[in-house]
Amino acid sequence: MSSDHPELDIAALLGADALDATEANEAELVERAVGRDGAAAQELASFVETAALLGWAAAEPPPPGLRADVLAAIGSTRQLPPVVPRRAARRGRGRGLLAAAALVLVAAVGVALVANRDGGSGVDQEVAAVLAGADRVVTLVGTGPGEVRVAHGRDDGALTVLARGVPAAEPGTTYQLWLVTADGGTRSAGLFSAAEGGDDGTSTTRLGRPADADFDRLTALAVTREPARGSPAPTGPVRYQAPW
Amino acid sequence: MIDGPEPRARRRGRGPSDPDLRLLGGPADRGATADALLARVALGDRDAFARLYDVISPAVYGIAVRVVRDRAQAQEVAQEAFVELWRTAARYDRSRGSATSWALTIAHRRAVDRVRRETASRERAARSARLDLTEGEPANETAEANLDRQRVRHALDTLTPAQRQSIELAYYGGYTYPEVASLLQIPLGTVKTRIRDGLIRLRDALGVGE
Repeated sequence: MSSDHPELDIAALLGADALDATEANEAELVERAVGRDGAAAQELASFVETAALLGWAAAEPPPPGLRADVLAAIGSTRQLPPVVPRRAARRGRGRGLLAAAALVLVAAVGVALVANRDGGSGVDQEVAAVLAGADRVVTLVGTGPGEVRVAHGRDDGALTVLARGVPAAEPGTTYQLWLVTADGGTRSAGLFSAAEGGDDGTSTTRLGRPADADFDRLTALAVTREPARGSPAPTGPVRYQAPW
Repeated sequence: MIDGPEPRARRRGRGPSDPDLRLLGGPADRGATADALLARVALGDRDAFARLYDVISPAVYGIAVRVVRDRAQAQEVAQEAFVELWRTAARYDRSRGSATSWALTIAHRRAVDRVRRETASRERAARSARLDLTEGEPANETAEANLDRQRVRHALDTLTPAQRQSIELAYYGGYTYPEVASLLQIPLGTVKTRIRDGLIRLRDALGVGE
């Protein structure tokens, strides 16, 4: 119910995930699922607390030199800024100002609803602007790491790809986004390379409005990897997908 | 050790008026202490970090030793985990769990990443033979660690042997559940179920979330 892939039983994975015993792709699926499913999030949190007690049970005195080494190491390590999240309102004390600022931004551009539906934690203004102008955002997941969000522009019907944590397409290849209809037909919506970008690694590619695409008949979006100039029909396995 | 930085850092904050330092009465106090310290670490407070180190380093190091099985490597893993904790402290999301569980998750992931990079299956097989929590305690362990160990041991005793084996292989052995399935020659779904059901029992036996 909480998953774009009902065939993958996220609930069954929560235990293994709390023990870091899932495969990388599954960990991503769990991460996304708990982002939208409060009950699953709560169960995962309780398992993580339980796993921590397994950790305490293994406690033993660290070697005496470790403390000084660690303190020296952090002395030359810059801290990362907080990720200003879509769940800003739920964040606790200590980041009040940043969280408040994020809320104002989110409210101002009117993306609260969209941001709640989607699994990312975009920090770029560009990303925020794309999301603000979208009447629909779909998050595609699959066999590769990361996720691909596709935003459909409210005013112009253009599609924009927001790829986060997706490996850049290898030289000579590209990612291609496909619009899938109920009869299994596919139509190319454009190409993107998923080069790194943004504070959290999100890259943004505007694909424009697909010619004579009937979005009412779409059933799914899919991404494959194709030769550099793209293909008329998908040739590679589906890397990321989601129902439309 | 007497003249090291540790006593100085502690002295500065110690006192009945400092709620951070009603330390080490048990897991609940320890948790509250770590929560308060981590909030300050997120703001760049190095003293708070040093004190957080004092609270959680036995667990961080112990996890690393259990999973990687090599003390020199475990020390590296523990150091990496602490540096990551420092770097990412501002990204801690308390809605996902307590500060200690977050910190120990980082430590466990670091340890697991280390062993998963080892391709030598020989070493992994050797590790798997030595997972039992009831095997010898470390020398000079603290009274507190002993208490934790007793509690968890009792809780583990409430599991079926099959549940316990799967959880120990996954957590202390650092195996993925497909690896556990392969080691035990049972279906993937069975492993997932054993781990989840076992964690539910452990959680209830340990009173997590109460």
